[in-house]
Amino acid sequence: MATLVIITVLCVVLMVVAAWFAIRTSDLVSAVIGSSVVSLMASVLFLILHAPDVAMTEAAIGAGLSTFVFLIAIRKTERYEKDEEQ
Amino acid sequence: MSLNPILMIAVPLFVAFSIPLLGYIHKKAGLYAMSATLLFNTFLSFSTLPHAFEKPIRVIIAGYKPPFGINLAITPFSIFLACLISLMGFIVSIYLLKDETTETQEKFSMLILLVVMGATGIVLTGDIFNMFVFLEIMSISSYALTSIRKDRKGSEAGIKFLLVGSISSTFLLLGIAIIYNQLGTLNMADIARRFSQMNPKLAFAAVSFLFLGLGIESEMFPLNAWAPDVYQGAPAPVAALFSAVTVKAGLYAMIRFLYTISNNSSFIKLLMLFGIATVIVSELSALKQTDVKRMLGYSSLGQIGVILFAVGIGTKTALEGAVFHFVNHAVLKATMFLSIGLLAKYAGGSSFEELKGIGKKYPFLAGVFAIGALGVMGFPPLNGFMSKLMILTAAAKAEHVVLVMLVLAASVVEGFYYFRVLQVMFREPEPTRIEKRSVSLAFVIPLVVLVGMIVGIGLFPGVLMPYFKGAAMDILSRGDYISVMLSGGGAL
Amino acid sequence: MKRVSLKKRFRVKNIFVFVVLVYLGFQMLSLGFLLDLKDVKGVAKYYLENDIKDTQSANVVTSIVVNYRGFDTLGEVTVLFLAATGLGAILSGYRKVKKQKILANTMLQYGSKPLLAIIILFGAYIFIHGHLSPGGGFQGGTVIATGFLLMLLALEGYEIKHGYIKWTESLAGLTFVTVGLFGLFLLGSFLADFLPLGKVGNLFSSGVIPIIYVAVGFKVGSELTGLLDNMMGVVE
Repeated sequence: MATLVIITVLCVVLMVVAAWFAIRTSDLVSAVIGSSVVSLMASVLFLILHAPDVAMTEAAIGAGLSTFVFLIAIRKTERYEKDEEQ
Repeated sequence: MSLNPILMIAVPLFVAFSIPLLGYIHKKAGLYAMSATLLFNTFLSFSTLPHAFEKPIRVIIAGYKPPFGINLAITPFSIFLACLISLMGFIVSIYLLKDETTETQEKFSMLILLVVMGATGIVLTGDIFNMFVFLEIMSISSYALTSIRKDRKGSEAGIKFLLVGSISSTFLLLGIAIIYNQLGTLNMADIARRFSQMNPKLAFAAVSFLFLGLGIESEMFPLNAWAPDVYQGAPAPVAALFSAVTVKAGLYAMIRFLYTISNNSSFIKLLMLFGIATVIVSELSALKQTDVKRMLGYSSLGQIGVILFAVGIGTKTALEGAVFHFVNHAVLKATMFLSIGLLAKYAGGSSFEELKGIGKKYPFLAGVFAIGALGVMGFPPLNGFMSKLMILTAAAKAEHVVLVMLVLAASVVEGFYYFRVLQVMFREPEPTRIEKRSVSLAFVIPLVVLVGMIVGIGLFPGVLMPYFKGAAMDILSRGDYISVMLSGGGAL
Repeated sequence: MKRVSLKKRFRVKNIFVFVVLVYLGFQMLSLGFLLDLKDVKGVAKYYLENDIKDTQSANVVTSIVVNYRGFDTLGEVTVLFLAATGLGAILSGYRKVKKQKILANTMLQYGSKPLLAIIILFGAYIFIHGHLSPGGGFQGGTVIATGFLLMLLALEGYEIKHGYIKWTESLAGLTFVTVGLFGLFLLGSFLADFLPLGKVGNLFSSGVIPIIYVAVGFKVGSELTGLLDNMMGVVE
């Protein structure tokens, strides 16, 4: 049981760190990867909470397809966030 | 014997899925299928109307009785709005048969069909999560329809609409999740029966989240900043659908939630205050506009504010006036958006500069627009007069005299900017750069029908009165809703 | 001079936003503690107890998604359809010829074809066994779409004919609605289960559920593939 608790805490911490990173970075590709890490950690947490269906869906769509769609959108536009100018 | 009302949702879905295949038969098959389906919907809703007014109907889906399965709750207010939505959808679809955008894309017809189906689903369903799903259907097709012309303004408006709509969906989902966690059910009647069993803090949180989410969808101040951009950027018939169909479904959801499900009188009063704020801010903003479509958007928001105000008052006559105004606002705004769409197309734009003197080149279209403007301002014998009168007398009886003054002042402001537009259209010299082209029949018929409705409802309001009374009774009688939906319901 | 004053203003706004967020976070957290997360009650309890009796499906989630609340699933399938259609409508007219600047590595080019077969088999397994093991139409369809994505990325000039995608999508959607309409005509309510229920654990059990989930799997797979193809086609 203790390992499960450790894994849960690790996942949550990784999720928060990845989300914070995704917001703060100005490289949009890194931000998208950060958000896909959030989805991946969420899918692991769903599995720990005894919901395999949701975990599968989240992994396939959140960590997979959604990342790809964002990457295509970035490729069509700008890769780096511009600073706010006055 | 009439058909099962679920067909109002199943048939449009069937047709929408098969439109890509119909494109192989004939290029315009999709458009005709769309109009035919909306006509079917209109007939079905009108034929169910008398039955539902006798006793509300409960349609069971998937064979499980509520609260374990989903059901449709066809009450007087629901079916009345379903009739309005289907009729408006059908009228706009005739207009679309000749519109340029639809000629290049068959996907347009699928999206229009699904917008109307989503709105019908929202007003007919008796399950709160099902309502959320239909709201999603309606919203997503709206986002796509806003940016379908791929011009700059449309795309910008589409993105704003999408972002705000996503926030609204998130809050709605949070509110529904809280309710489900506490009460263990998703059926509206069951939730209504047991709403007081919720922990008060959680109940307040759930109601405020839902108020926020539904407020965004019903264009309430201050959550309606996205609306003027959308009305300006979307193609004109789409904007007509937005003001006639989607916002009505959002308002229905708000009313159903606050009156029947949670019966929260403090939030209802809040609705009244926000309604007044919406009216004031929108009418004043409309004064400053130089683009007629954007001005129409603000005017539409103002009328919605009046509806919200009336709903917030809560007395029987106020609710009757509100339901009446539902109809009037839908018809008037549809007329105005459709006519301005044509005028803008012929004039090359919809700003005051471009529309100078267009009234002399296209008297019929500008005349239709003028009738719509007079109706909105509330001139008798057009339809806007009766509903505004009912709302204001109900407000005065409920002793909100200051607010009545504010609404009247807003009407004066309305008159000011509408007359300004009419003056630009009619009294400026005739523009020489625009040639006169004949207006296709597909455009003329819907406009004639709508004007007929404006004048007809204005001259004979008594014809529709019993329906308004029935709908208002339905909103207020919570206990009846619960007992009918959980026990049996009337026969088809 | 201007840059310094901008930074100072930004910082004050930053702190204000941070404080508001922390306050809201605490409020939400306290709300979370009030939620009752221990017992299963209400409809969920009914579903857990009566699932086998009503549907003979081993996977409760599937029977809830397809049978008890199948109408919502139909709505969600429509939402997916709308997203793909809307995207197609907005991106239409922008198709450019695809030129890949960097070709994929030889190993990827040769290995991706057999891999596609395995991925499709895996995806099909997931949605055919929706009522027996975790998974179902949506998960299976997504897996299939990622298989096609692999092909689009690895092979140069790989194209999926739009006709196939359109037909699969429409036919699968029509199957779902038709099954519902059959339920309406045969049993009196839309989406009612009208096939024999069989025994738990068999492949051919649970009435209409496998049929619907297979249709959903096809639909989701073809839709997502079409979506990705649309988006890839736009990139220069």
